[in-house]
Amino acid sequence: MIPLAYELLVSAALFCIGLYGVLARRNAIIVLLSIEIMLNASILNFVAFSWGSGNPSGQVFALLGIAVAAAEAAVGLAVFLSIYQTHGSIDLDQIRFLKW
Amino acid sequence: MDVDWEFIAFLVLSVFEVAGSILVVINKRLVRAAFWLALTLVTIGAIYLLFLSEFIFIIQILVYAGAVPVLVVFGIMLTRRRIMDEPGRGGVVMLREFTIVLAVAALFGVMAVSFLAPVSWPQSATAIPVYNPPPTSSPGIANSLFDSFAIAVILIAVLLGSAMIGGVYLAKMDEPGKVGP
Repeated sequence: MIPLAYELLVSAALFCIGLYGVLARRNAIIVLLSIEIMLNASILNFVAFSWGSGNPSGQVFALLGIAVAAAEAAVGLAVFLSIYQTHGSIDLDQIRFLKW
Repeated sequence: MDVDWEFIAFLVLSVFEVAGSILVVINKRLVRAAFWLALTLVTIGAIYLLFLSEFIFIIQILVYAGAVPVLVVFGIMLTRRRIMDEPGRGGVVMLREFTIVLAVAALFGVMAVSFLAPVSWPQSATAIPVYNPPPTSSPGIANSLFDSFAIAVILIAVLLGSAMIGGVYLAKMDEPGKVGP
């Protein structure tokens, strides 16, 4: 029997590590991987609460979250690769053509 | 003495998971970060197994641990090597990282206290309006997926298909400087 609070702690740690990656790193692909870590932390919570409450609806939402995260990774990577080819860099401090 | 092996397995997997994710965010080399991400995703899948969610475990291994790191690694390897490098960092960047570490640690502290303190969280699941299992069968995940949430499955398929096509459209480039076909 796994205490749910411990799972929540692990999930919170994963989320905070991912948040650090999103805020601190400047390489866009590392930021994308960090977003994946954050999404996984939330999906882990869905599965754990589904197990804790005996209600399989949480697994359905976990499945939806996994599909959305995979789509986000594919589109994000495509966007960053084409930005790299047009601008020669994916440093998030240098990509500022959407700012004025 | 009765040893709770499930809990021990959970703790070991959690250590691997947190260490792997830390190595993802602090790694300077993109390819190594992608492989550490694969380790993190596989251990998260193993935790799904501990939570008796075998179907989500399979999906996690197939979609996440299989596809996402391979996608990232191939995306990096098919471009030039310079995409892996990160420019050198000065004192201002170090100060910013230190501030971010402090802020994230404070956020984790707030969450940890709220999880471990005796807060009266709701103990039973709130009824979701669209969830209505048939009274004669046990409410399994397939019941939910293909009965109550059938439209969600269709939307997942449409979303994944359109995202992949959109990714190909964005990444395809015939002449330099021109995005899209």
